Amino acid sequence: MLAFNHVDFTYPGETEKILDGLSFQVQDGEFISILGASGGGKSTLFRLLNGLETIQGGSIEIDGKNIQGLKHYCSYMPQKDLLFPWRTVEQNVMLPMEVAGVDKAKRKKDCGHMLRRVELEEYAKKYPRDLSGGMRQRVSFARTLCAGSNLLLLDEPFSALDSITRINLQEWLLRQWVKFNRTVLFITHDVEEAIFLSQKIYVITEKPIRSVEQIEVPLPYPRTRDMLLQPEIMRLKEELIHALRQKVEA
Amino acid sequence: MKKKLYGLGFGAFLILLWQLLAVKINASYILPSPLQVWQALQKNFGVIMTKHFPITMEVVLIGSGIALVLGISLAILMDLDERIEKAVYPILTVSQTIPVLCIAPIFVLWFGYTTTTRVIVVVLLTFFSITVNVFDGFKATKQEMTELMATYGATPMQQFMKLRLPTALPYFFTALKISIPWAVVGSAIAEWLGAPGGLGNYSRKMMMDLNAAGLIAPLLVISAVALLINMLIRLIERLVVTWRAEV
Repeated sequence: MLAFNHVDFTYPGETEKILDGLSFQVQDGEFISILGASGGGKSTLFRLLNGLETIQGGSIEIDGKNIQGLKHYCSYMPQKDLLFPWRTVEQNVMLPMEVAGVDKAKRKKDCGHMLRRVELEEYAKKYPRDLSGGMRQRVSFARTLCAGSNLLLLDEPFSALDSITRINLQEWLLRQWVKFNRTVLFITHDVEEAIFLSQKIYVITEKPIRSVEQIEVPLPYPRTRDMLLQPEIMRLKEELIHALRQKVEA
Repeated sequence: MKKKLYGLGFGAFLILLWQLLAVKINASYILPSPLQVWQALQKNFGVIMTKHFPITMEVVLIGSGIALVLGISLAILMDLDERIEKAVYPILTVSQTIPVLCIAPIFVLWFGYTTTTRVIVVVLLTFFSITVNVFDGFKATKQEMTELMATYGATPMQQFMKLRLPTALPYFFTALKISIPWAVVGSAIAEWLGAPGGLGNYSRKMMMDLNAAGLIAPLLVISAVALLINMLIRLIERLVVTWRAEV
């Protein structure tokens, strides 16, 4: 379980608080979207979880342990695929294991296994330039899985893709989530994406962030796109848009 | 291919123009015709290639070797520690405003008409562009990629070997393409200061004899060598840096 306990954060050298006593929890195996307008501090949550920034008050804990003493407790997937162009697909996927010092035979085996699961095995020896945007994101996802932790942080991974590819990848991601049984925190500013993917949506509407509004998505898995047309879901969508818009106008 | 044809065509036109002009002036000590230059090259090819060419190339090889080691080391040091960058970079830049060939005679005072003197000239002419290009290459590393590596728990050494070094590689090849041909030219010019031989030295001797065709002949060899080296570097680059367009 992941827990933010009364977390305070201000970027070094700035006066405006980003987080002010924020608390929330995420249970193991959940798929949670963090929904908020751009510039609202969503990505800051991930930077804190990643250890790229340090909190000034409160604590972030995983299974009751402060993350400051932990290693390899989360895997981060950035918005851009950030594949290294000088590495093949396979070498890119193996990068986190290489850094962690996993031996070569195991690296190769795990990577092959992973590429099969994300349906990219025939591209193992290709370079990122040979792949489409959607495929590159899938490689990036496989790389994230290879970082080995149970908590996946996905930071608007599909926002730069065209809408058809995005829809395909959303469906693909759900299948992967069921297959891999990991906890997913998914940042997005797209209301429909949040509803389609997640069990719960944590909505950020204030700055500094003092709390998140937790909304359950009343849909079963596996999901199909026509479920989004149910009146109840349409209403939820309108409410969310309304909440976000208020924030933007404020 | 079509692009090359334009270049070749225009080159042929210029040579033809030169030939016509030379025939019109009709004074080979002022403007020898391309044909006369070619004949001079043929006549002296043996002595140019066996006696003078090795002397020039020895300095090119030693000089570029030192410049590469020096330039890359400096770039790495500046990349490792910002204090070194702040201390060294401005001095490097200022040093480039001093015309190397004008202060070269001082090296003659120190080391005489030796290989050392000419090697120093070549090193001074070339190492700067290597340092700056490779350093820029390190700096071109994307912050996001560095952070991604950090989330994997990468050590500074892993950051350098797996990210910064490959990022800088295309820049390193740019440095090579600029500096190595320049080393060939620099080596020949340094021979003007005084040398036991070499293409530049031979060319200068021909000038004393008012042999303009003989003066130009070794320059053709210099150009050809610079061009060949450049092509070789491009070939290696194409094999090694396959991702250039994306960086």
